[in-house]
Order: sequence, then C-alpha cells, then structure tokens
Amino acid sequence: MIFEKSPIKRFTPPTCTLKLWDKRSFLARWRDNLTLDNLQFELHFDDPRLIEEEQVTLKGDHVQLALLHSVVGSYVQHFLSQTATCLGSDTDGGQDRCLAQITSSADIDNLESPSPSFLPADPPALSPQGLLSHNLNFGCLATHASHGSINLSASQLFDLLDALEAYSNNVLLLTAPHRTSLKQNIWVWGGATAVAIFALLVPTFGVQWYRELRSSNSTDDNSQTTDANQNSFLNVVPPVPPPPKEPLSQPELSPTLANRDPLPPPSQIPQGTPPPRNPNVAIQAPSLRVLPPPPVAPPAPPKPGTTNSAPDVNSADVPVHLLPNGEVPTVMPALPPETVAQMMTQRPNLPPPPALQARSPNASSSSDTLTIPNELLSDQAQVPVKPTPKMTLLDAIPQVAEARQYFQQRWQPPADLAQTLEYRLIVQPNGSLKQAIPLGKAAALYQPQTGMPAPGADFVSRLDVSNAQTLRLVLSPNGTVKTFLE
Amino acid sequence: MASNVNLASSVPSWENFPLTQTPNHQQLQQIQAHLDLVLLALESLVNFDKDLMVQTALDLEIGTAVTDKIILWSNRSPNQTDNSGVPLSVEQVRSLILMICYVAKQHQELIRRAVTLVEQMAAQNKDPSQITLLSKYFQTFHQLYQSGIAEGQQLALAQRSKLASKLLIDLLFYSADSGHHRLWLTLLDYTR
Repeated sequence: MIFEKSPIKRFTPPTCTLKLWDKRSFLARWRDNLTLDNLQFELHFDDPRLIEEEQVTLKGDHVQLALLHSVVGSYVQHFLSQTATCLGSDTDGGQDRCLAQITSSADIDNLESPSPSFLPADPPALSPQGLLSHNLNFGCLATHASHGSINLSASQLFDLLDALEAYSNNVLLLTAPHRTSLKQNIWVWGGATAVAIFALLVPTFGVQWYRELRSSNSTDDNSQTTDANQNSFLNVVPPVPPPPKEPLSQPELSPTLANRDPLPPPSQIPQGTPPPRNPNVAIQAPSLRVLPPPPVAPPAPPKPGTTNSAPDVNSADVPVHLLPNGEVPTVMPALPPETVAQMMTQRPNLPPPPALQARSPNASSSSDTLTIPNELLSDQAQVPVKPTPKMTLLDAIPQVAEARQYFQQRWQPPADLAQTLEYRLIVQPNGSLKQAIPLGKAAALYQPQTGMPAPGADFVSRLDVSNAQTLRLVLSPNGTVKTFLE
Repeated sequence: MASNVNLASSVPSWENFPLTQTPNHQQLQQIQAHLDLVLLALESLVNFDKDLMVQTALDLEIGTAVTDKIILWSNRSPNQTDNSGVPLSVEQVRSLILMICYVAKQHQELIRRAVTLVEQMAAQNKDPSQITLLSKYFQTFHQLYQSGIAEGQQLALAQRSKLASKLLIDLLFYSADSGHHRLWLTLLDYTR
C-alpha cells in the first residue's frame, strides 16, 4: 500500500540510515495501538566509497534491532575499556602492553566482546580489525541482509551506535504517546467533519423547512405574528443615555490667546481697482461684425381696389368713387337727448294683434293649413348652431376639445404663478366631471383659481362610451391650455 | 570533602548510575590517571584552558571548587607528574567526567573530522602528520605528555602516537549524548 511506503521514524547519522516501519496495513494502524511487534527496521550503511550494489542493507524486526543494539553497545564499551585496561599503573610496562594490545591485530582478537548467554545461537558479532576497523558479522540477521558482514570504520561504528541509541530512546515515544495523539486526531477530525456537514445542511434544508412551516400557518396567524413581531420593538423603551458624570468641557482659549486684545475690525475695504493697463498697448475697439445688407424686397405693385392704409372711419376721407354702388353715404348727425326722448314718445301706435283662434289639428281644409311664415324659412331666422370646438389631431374624442375650450374661457393665470399646473380629470359617461386630481402641490394650491367645475357638474358632452374617461389638463402660466386623453 | 555537585535538569544526571561499590584510594588513582589521559587528548585537540574549564563548570551548574583541584596539562611541569598528589573525590571525578564530555560534545565535529582524517590516512598508508589538524594534535599531545610525565615513565614516541589515536577515537564516543555514561562505565572497570 502506498501508506506503507513512508517510515514512521527515521534516524540519519552521517554514515548510516535507520528507518522504522509499521508493517501493518493502513486500517490496522488506525484500529490498534502500535506495539513493538509491529515494528520493522531497515538499516542502510552509507559508504560513498562503495558502488550501489555493494551498499549494505540490513532488515529485521525490533528484536533483531535490540539484539544489534546490545551487541554494538557492548562491543564499543569493551573497546573503550581497553584503554583503561592497558593503563594499569601497577607496573611501568603497563602502558606499553596496552598500546601493544591496541595496535597488534593478534592481540586485538582478545578484544572481541563476550557473547551474553541470552543471545541466540548465531548472534551478530563485532571483531576489531586493528584500531580503526571493526568487522560486523550479521549472524542470524544475515537472512534479510544484502551481505553477511561489513567492515566498519571507527566513525561508522560511532554512527551505528548513535542510530541504535536514538532508536532505543525513541521507541517508547513511538508507541503510547503516538497512539494517544492519533486518537485525539480522530476526535478532532470527526468533530470538524460533523460541523462541516451541519453547516451545509442548515442553509439547504433549514430554509426549505422554514418555508414549509410558514406556508402551513394561516394568513391571520401569519399577519398577527408578523404584526406582533414588527411592533414588538415599539414596546421597547429606548435606553436613556446616562447623564454625563462631569460637565462637558467647554472649549476654552489658551491663556496666551485669551489675554490678547481682540483684533480691531478691518478698515473700509477699498473697492477693487482694475489691474493697471499696459500703456504700451493701444486700446482697440473690437471690430464690428460686418453683416451683409438686409435683403430688400422690391415693392409690389399696388393692386387696384386695395389700399395699404386702413380705412378711416371718417367718411369725409373716404373717396366717393370707392363706395359700392356709387352711393353717397349719409351720416346721421348726433341727436340731443331731448330729441331722443321725444322720438320715443312719438312712436307710432301699432295695431292690435289679431285674435287667436283655436283650431283643431285635424282640420284638413286648405284654408286651415298651417302655414309657416316666410320669416321662419329664411336663413336669418334659423336657430344659430352652437359652434363646434376647434379639434386637433391629438383629440381622440371630442370631449377633449370641449374641455380645452371650457378652460380656455376660464383660465386666467395668476400673476405669481411660475410653473405649469397639471390635473387629471375623470369624466363620467354623462359628461359630468367626476373628480379632478391635482398633480403636484402647486396644482392643488391653484385649483380654486382654475375654474374647475364642481364634481358632478356638467362639464362636456355625453361620452360615446360607457366608461369614464380620464383627461389630462395642463394649464400654463402664459394662459395656454392643453388637454389630452390619457 | 564537601560535594558541590549541583545537577540541573538540563545537565546529565548520575541518578541512573548508582555507585554500588565505592572505589578505594588506588582505584581512584587509576580512575584519575585514566581521566588525565582523556583530558590530555582533549587539551591537545581543543583549546581547553582554565577559563574554558571554569565556564564549563558554570554552564553545568557544578561548583567551581573542582576546577581548583584540576591541574590542566598545559600548566604542569615534569616534576608534577600527575594529579595523584591531589586526589579527587568520586563526585569530583563525576564532575570532571561531565566537563570532559560536555566540551567534547561541543567540539564533536572537530573530533569527528580528526578521526575521519586518521582513518583516511591509515587507509592510504600515509603519515597523519601531513594533515595540519592531525599534525597539530599529535604535536601538542607529545608536548603536553612530555611536560606532564616524568621522563622515566614516558612511552616511546610510536606508542605515544598510537595512544593519542586511541584516545582521539575514545573522545568521539565520549562526545555522544550518552558519552558521560560510557566514560563512567569505562572508569568503573577499575573497581572490579
């Protein structure tokens, strides 16, 4: 598995590398505590002088690693003690024997560390090869080793012992504290995952549940609840700010400024003088724009029978030949009031009107035929027709023009009016005004002066449609009246 | 002799290494003689003078009284053969072990480089004195040895050189975290 590729601990002295592995599966590491039985080691002897094929690697379990540690430690301690052994001060030749023992390979064989009785039959063993070289025979560890033995220098031996002692000091830390932290990590990650799931579920399902809950409630309850919720804040008395513990500090002038006399008011400010003109530059009036002469229309030839001047009311100036039919107009002289009164009294007596007789409408005699007097048949006798209001292209219905005419006769813009007044007029089908809605504050203020008809009063002619129509009335300060159909 | 050992938490403690058998006077002399040779190697490689020794005692929070009893090789005369005239107590021996291993650990890289050079020169059958670092070490070692040991008790030059090499390798192991433990166990061999 990929998780088994990384060692759980690594010790790296300069000339060797000791790796510790957990040989269990990944799931088993999470389920069970790490024990020494699950440990596996791999020891690399890094010698830059050797090619890769000659690099020595040793593998095994923790028992074999402990055995190797014991053997190497005992050998090093024995190696160090050889210096003390040869320093016996009993005889003068003690040191000589010591040095001879160290330097002589034959005598150094005696330095081989004794094998403890608890060791297996073929334990790993170290033997000195002179002072600076030590041969490590893997013994029973050679089954998983690339080589059966290795020659170690003094520095390599030191590094090997350093790695083994580091393992010995850390092996207890690899078990109990590591598992405790692992379990804590499980709880931490589990809690974090639960919080993340909760944070995802609340915005999604919580809002949906809340909407369902709202829709299930009645409208009244909803409104009451809503009102209660909305007005609940009205019952809350706003907090009264506490009185200041100390009077507010008034701004004061600093003593140096307070002792100074106030500055006198400035003297009369002279009017600004224009900047002095450069006398070297002569003043030149700007050249007038030369306009082309206005076009002069040739005088039109006077038409016969027309005159350019308005006719004077004075008949004396009226040429006689210009009067129609060549008659000479006679001017009635002004009569004094006495004459007028006399004339009124001397009016001729009119004959009494003939007596009216009732006739039956069924009379069919020709003499009884109702005759229409000629006066009634003449054009002058006809009843004058009410003039049709002037209509524009925008007048969708004739009532629009009627309304415009209505207000054109009544609208007298006040002198202080400076803006346009607009109203919305609702006309009922019978032509009466239902309502006049001023649009804007100014329109409401000036509504009494617009000549607006009272609601219900006749306004325009009867509408052709059965629905009320809405007109827009625009009254301008210059007296203009506009009406539109909305 | 009053013990001034005051071991702080950061300082290696001797609680895990109880002394079951108190060494006698002779054994203490042997232990002290062995420590003298380790100190000789350290002085030959590192500038371990009186000031550094006092500073080390202060860093390790051990009393400076022990430093007055330790005569460095650089301050010895041929008539003053060793420190046998000024015997150390067991606690003072332990204090000296702590100081030696502390300084060795501080100079572990230098010790390691020297050991590696010795190995390389031996593998190439070359004279280690060709290397400046090793030449200086061996030369200082011989000078201090000659100035500190009576002429009649001195080793031959070749044997002295091999002793210097052996002590240099020992220093490398004593510079480890558990160096004081190893040095103490080494010295306990004299009590068997």
